[in-house]
Amino acid sequence: MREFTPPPVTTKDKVGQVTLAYAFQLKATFDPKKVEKTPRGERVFQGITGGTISGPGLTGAVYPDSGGDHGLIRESDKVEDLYARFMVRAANGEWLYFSHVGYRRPDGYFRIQAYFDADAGGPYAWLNDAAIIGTAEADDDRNEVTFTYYLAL
Amino acid sequence: MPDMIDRRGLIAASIAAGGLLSAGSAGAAEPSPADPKLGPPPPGIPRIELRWAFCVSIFFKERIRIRSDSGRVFVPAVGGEVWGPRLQGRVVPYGGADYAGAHGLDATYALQADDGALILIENHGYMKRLDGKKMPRVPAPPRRPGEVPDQTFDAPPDSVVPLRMRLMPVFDAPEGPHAWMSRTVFVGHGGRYQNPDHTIFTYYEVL
Repeated sequence: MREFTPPPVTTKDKVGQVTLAYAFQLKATFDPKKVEKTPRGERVFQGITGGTISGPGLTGAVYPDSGGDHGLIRESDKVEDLYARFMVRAANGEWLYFSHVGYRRPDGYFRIQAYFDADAGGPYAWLNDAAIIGTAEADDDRNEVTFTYYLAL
Repeated sequence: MPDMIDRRGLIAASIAAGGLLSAGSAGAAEPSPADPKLGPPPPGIPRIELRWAFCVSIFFKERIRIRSDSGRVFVPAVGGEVWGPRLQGRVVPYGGADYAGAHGLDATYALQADDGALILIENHGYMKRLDGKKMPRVPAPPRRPGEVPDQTFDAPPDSVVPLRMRLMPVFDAPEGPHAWMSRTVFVGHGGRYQNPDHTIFTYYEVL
């Protein structure tokens, strides 16, 4: 392995600052879970059946049956590795692609990182180059999940 | 550097990151269509707190560009250091690279903690100029031996061109004291520096 000695730099005393701004909230409904037992854990598919989005950054609705969560509940630590994707129709008629990764832990921690595709010239183009994180709250009895999205600036 | 603070200001930064949920000092400089409307959440909306976890410095010596729509740039990491409250160590020399392109930052590096554990980081995110101009995508001219690279070309330091770099990393850590990194969502900040060419990443745990 090649070696490298970092040169002395004065930037080590700098800590980059991140601030958060509330963007929007999604209340989503899902089909019941379909579970597949794989060697790495339980692959859980839950199709999305609908949802509404509201907040200062976006108003719209989930396009029913346009995707869902393909999560993996890891064998080793029982943490769900989330992978949720679906389409959204904004209030102005524009189509948006929503994609999420994140972790849902047995202790209740449920946090996401979200990626979006939006029309390049449209009012939601800012979603294309954005770091957006969020919380999620699941009601497993009703197959409902509420996602709250924050823009990291 | 409007959104960099020194370590003495860290407590204030943690409050700004997690508590105030302000639009941020850097936001004022950027003509983002979203910023004016966004801000703190109304009552009843779940809030998020951030906690500074660690910083990573990464040093570079070259950028290899591909002339295609992908805009792909290969930027190997020569090495670097990791410091902060929750992880200390180094960037494994030549242990990864950024393969950034039109889709954004796309880096994979190996970190090594002081206890020897290897931790893989996949770094996704964006780097954009706050002056509204696009990052140039044409290949750089060939360099003569001994020539100092033109660091203002496509990854200029923040002091030359105002940049915003934000990150959504995913870590793959072994079982043991670092396993928490594989089950925690992070968000990060990047700052560009020259002489020598390096980037400082600051990572926050999303609590």
